[in-house]
Amino acid sequence: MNHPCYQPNVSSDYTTYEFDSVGKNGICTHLIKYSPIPELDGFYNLGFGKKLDDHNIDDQYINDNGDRDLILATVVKSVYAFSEQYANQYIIFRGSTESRTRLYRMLLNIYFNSLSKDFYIWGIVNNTRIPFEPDSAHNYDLFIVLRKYWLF
Amino acid sequence: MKSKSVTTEKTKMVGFINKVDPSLDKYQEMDLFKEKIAEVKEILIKAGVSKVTNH
Repeated sequence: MNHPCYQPNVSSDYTTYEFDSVGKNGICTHLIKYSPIPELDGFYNLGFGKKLDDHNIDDQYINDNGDRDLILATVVKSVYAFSEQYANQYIIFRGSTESRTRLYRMLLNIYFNSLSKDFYIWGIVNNTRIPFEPDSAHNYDLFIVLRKYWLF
Repeated sequence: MKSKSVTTEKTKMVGFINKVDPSLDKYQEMDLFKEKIAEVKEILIKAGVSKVTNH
């Protein structure tokens, strides 16, 4: 995956990624956070948003900095980086809003050709797990990805 | 056992990361996205995906 992206700083355990979005409205610091899902071993939630002054994250803001593609590519790269460190762990994408879930869906559509070579990708639709189909009419509740290489 | 391609991808990731910043470790202790994670957990359990199999 060779799309241009930001180069984040990362926490020691590779679960938190911080980078600056630089665009028409200035600089906006973002965080990508992988959090274990309690009582579901092997599942991590991907959270993403604007870093706030109190070290919290606003995951409902709408980025209007004109660099959406760079940000999406950075999120995808973080999935690669995280899955290298945490083999055999499932990564869950779910937006905080319907528009954010659509953004994740767009991300998977855009990067499906490269991602599907390296990851299994599923969606949950009506309480059922199905393989993710790009550009389908399914209304996915969330998405699940798993790095393939651990099976080799 | 990991494949040789993993090593190649790791090399790429070295270029992706700017630096390891221990100040970001504080987020390990924070309950970020707590409500969202609870919703996600409920959806996974309803879908019977407590452990995905049958790739």
